[in-house]
Amino acid sequence: MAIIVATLLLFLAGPFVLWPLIRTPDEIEEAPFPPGKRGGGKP
Amino acid sequence: MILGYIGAGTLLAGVVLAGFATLLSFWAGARENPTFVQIGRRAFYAAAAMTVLAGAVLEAALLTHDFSLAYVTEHTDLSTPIALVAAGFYGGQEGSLLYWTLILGVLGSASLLASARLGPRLAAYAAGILAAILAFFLFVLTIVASPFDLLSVTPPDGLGLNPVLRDGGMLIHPPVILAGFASFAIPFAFACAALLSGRVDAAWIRHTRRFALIAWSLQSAGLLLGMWWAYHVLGWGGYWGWDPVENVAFMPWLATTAYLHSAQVQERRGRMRAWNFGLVILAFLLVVFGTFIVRSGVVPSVHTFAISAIGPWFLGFLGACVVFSVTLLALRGERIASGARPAAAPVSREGAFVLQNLLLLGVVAVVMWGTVLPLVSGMFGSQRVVGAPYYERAAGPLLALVLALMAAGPLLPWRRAGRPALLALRWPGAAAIAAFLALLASGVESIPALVAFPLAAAAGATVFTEYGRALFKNRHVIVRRRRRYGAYLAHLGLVVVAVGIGASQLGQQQTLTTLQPGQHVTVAGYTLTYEGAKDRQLSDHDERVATMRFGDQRLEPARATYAGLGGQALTHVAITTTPIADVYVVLVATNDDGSATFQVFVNPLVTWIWAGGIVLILGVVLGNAGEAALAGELARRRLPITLPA
Repeated sequence: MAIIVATLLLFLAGPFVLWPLIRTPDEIEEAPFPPGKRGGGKP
Repeated sequence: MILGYIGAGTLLAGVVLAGFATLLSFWAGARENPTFVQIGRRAFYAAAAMTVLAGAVLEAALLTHDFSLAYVTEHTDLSTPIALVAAGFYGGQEGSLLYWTLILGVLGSASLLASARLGPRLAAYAAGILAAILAFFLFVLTIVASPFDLLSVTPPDGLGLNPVLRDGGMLIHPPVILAGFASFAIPFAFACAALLSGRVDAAWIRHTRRFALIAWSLQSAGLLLGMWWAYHVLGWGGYWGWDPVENVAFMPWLATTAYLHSAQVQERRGRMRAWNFGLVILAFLLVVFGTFIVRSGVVPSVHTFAISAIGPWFLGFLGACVVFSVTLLALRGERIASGARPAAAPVSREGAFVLQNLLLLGVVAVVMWGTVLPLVSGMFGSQRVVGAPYYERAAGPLLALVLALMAAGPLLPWRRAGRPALLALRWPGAAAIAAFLALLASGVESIPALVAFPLAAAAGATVFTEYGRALFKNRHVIVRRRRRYGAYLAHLGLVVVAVGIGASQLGQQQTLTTLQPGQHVTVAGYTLTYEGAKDRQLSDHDERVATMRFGDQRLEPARATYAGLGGQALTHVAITTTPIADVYVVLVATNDDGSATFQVFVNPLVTWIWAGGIVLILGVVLGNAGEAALAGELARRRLPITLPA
């Protein structure tokens, strides 16, 4: 029972903890190119 | 029962999050990856939130009398007043450990929130160290000493709180001293993180000092409240018994007091850097040592919790902390110390701080040796225990020298004290001589009194000299340089405490007497008349109350019997307080022939201890309120060092 409660709490805490990794599609599009890829490659 | 499962699950989730925060923070710090540094910190916040949640669950279980939890059954019952039921949270081993962890989580989160300016690497390492400490405590709470263990059969009522703990002091002393203990982890974490990352700049000093001040203030308040509580509850006429648990609370306070002084040398002169690291680390190691002593039961003490399985875990944790921090200091300390400015003359402000540090560490050594002697001597044969005379003879002269330094140190300039500075010592010198002559004239022959009181007078004169000089020249300087003048106020508070302790120790008078109704006893000029005794029934205990007339007051010392706790008896002291002395009456017994036996103490100037303690803490708190920015600016100008990692 305690393990189930712990799992549930960890599941709930996940988005808060991992928030810096979570990006919306808009943020991903707006993000600058990595340095080596600036200017784009072949289409 | 459901609360037990929720609480245990919360602690388990906390262990996982704190363990995750530890590993990720060290890894992200080493790679200076800001995203993962943030995630590590957030995992720490989440683990801290779990400790708060676990605390709320335990409190809910206590307040709803959920006797399916062993902890609730062992520490409360239905007749316990509700405030004390709530205080049962920290009334036992497991709950107090959870409280410790909760404070660590909350203060640790606050310190990490404020750590953004320290740079990602240092902040990440600090988060990693704090998370490791939190993970250890949560692990112990989960595996070894859980407050959420369930009983196989739920009893209709609990066993109740220990009678000694059924007092208003229970509501304030334990939470403050436990918070003090927990808060020493924060300066330790930031000191070790700075050593690991090689960054020892102004921001680190400011950050560490701020949290060291919080720890020091909490510990000061906790010690003072503990003394006050012991004095009002235990009924032996004193407030400090050199009990191992008192000692282990006193030692980190001494080490941090030393740090708060030597940190000034680092700020002003760029010296004593490695020493300061050592002091911050020592304070935390003393806390862990103290926690081990209190919770393992290895040393006999009136405070010790029941002997439990957590002793070896804390011993292991202490060993790990010692190895980690000593290795770190050995590897990094020399590099931090390098580049310091040239040494000052021995007779200078720096010299006074160094000597004060050595004296305070000397007191730590004396207290430590007295505390561990039963343990060490037990290993080599018969167990030996030292009493108050050992501490008074060994630590007393060192503390007297600290008083002397409080008189001279503030008047000495930095670098070198010339003739004008030495001339300034004439005021404290004159005060000391005047006090000495006054004591001799009033017939005092005790050597400790003839030494301690003149030194206290000299230290007080120094404070008044400095305040007088400031008021005479420019009164605004007191506000502008409030850290300095706050420190003087703290010195004044300590002088008052020292006078109170000296007078109550050296001037205490007591008598044990049996009186029939109508008879009186006179102690130190105070006369008390016994009027009679009666029985009184209260919600959770019965009392036999004696009434004594003292002038136009009535004192009612009593003996309480807790029938629900197997007939445990407790004395209730009656105290009347004046600025000159406390009259302290203990009812020892009431006899069949109508007489009653009393122990009557007259304790001079005890109120001064509490008043001086409040002034001491206020001086430090007011002196440092809003001073962080100024201190940081000072340190930034004088300490431009950043070491390679």
